Amino acid sequence: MLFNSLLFFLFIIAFFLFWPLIKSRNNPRYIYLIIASFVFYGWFNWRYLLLLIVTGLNVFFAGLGIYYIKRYKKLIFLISIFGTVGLLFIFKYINFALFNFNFLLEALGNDYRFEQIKIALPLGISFYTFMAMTYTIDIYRGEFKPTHNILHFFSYLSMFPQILAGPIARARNLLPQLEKTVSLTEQQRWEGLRFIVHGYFKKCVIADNLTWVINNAFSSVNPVESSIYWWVIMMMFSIQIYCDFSGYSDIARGLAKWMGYELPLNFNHPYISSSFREFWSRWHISLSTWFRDYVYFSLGGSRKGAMLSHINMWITNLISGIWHGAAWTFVIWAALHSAYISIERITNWSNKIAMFRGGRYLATIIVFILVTVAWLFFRANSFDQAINILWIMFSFKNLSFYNVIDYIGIQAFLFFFLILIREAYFLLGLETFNWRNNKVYQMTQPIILSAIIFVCFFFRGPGDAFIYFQF
Amino acid sequence: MTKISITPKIYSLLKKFLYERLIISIIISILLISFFNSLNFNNSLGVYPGRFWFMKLDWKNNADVVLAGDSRTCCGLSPMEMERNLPNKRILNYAFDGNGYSSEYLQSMEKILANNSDQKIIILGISPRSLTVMSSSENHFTDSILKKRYHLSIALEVFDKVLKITNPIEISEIYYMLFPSKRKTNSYWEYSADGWMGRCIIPSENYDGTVEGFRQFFLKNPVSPKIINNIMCYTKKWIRSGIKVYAFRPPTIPEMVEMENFVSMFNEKEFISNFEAVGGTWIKVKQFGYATYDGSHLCPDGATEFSYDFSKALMYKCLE
Repeated sequence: MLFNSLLFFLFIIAFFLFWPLIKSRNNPRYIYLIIASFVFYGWFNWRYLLLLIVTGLNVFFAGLGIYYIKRYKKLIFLISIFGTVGLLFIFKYINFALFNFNFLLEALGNDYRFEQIKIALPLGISFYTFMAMTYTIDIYRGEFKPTHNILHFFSYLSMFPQILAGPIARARNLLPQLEKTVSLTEQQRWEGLRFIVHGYFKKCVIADNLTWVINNAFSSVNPVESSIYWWVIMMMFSIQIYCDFSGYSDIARGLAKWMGYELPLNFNHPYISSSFREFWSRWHISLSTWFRDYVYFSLGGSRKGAMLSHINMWITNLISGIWHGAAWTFVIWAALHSAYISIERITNWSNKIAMFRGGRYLATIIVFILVTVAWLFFRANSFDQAINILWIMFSFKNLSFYNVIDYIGIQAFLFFFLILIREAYFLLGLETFNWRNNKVYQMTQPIILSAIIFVCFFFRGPGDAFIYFQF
Repeated sequence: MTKISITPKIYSLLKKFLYERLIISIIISILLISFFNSLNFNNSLGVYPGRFWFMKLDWKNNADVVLAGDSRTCCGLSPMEMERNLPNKRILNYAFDGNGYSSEYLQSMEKILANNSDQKIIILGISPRSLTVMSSSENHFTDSILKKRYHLSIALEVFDKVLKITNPIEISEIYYMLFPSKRKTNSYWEYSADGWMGRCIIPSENYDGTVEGFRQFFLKNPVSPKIINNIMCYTKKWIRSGIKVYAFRPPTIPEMVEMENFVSMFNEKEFISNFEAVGGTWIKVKQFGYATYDGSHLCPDGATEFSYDFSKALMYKCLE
């Protein structure tokens, strides 16, 4: 079921109605959480649960094997990783692999073609697979002890707030939390509500109101031949994907908070970054740190010289690109970011610009523009479409802004500028000011949040699935 | 015996409750939403829009006459008006926005007809758009079926009124509430439980724009002979099973009909000939002269008039 559905609303009411009665004892708590999570996840398609269970059983028993059977530790670890990644490959990448293999056969003059396999992509598979892998990898590295309670493990793996689109919580951080019973303070309940409401605002009001504009633009057979139109569309997409994804993460964090658990921060205002290094420390933090810790560092990181550091970074990013989707456009998106980071490391341009007065803001704008250009390959339906639009964007023709307003509509612009203003607030560091500790400000918080709830109800856009559900 | 006073405990709990920011926020939200709703921005009447389409998918064994087609039929034929000439018939409008005659759609019509009906009737609204591959593959009917999987009909039933209160509105509506003279158009929707959708825009939309939009559509998506053939197969099957099948072309404006005849590759005469050859009955209706709001769809006044005329024509056909 989707977060932005009436059904989910009813589900949450039912869940939290009984949660306080059950949470005090471990096994009942785990069972309750597992059942609720299975209902949530299985609502899309009950068959998806089978894959989740198989993955979970593989990883749980492998964890115990790695810890206790030291002699075959490496073998068990490799089999487990192979099994987990193998399942991900079959369900997500097999047709992409076959497509490319057929392309290669055609290039070699061979007439044989492999048939595409009719296989459904289970929602959230990329996310829970990575969560499962943190468990085995950390045990293998000796950084974590496995749990002996299979219910405990499955309550971690299947936990419904995060199963579909993260944040990717590490086993070593979340499993210990799940063992404890937490009585919530008023502050925690309030923060949970704030996360949830802000999440819904970003998703339902901002992202959903921009979605139809962007979908219309990309689904048109003959794209609008206006540079300014496409720059606006792409900047709106930058905002849409940010709000869609970070909105989901906020809702997940808020729900987890109400249960008494802390999920990691996943987005930290990435568009106020003045360098690409900073951008990737603020965007999809749980995934970028996963790749850093388990791929980049495993390859050697930056310990073996500058050249190898670049190579390792490229490999890591390209794998991250393919994780996002089984298409070359995602790889190109990742390659662009790798190029950005390489150039930044070599030239140190962002720090040099930041040394000048106002330079940090200029660097922020440059980073935002380049990230927006890269998003084109992420969103386009095909490589050809991306190139076509890129050409229009950089041809700087047909720059009439009034036509753009006609195409896009005032409402979409209003929400777009609202988020830009919000991010500017954080860019200018206004959140650190002392006035936030003011008693009057504190007292008005419930009123402000109520107003946001009201806006979520009445100004939500047409509902659409979260973008990252497809991963 | 010691009398235990519980008042301080209750007072303490109440105080704690009132200081709970979460509770305060929820209470204020409810008050805001209720107040806003009382301003009545909701310009739709009848069934909650989200439920309207799912409602049609739930129909089973409850009609004597099923009206099928796309938005022209959905807006153009009101079962309530038709029942003035056909008082003993239970009529349901099973048309969907942007719909096409896919096999799935054709197959789904039969189950709506009541087993105990004296005479089962299916009426097909044949607009050229409904005969295109695009409309048959990507349409509101299919979309509704997919969405219905993720919704509880029961929940919608129970929370019907709540959902209607929280229908989203455009920011421009607030602007027009504050400055009514600035409003360029007024529009409203009516979702009737018998499946009719009434829609009106005042002043009506630019007809040239609508015709051009349809023209662009047909240039890329002409009428499909395969879809027409499929309709004929189903018609034959229904006739054999004792169901009477009628068809008509929904009225619009002369410019639209002329464009459709020229661009969409729809040959009305050939269609009628083939349709009657398999046992169907074509009902010739007045193509122009009914009030529309956009040159393609009838507004409620036009629908009332057309429904009456059509049902009269149908009544005579039934008596023949």
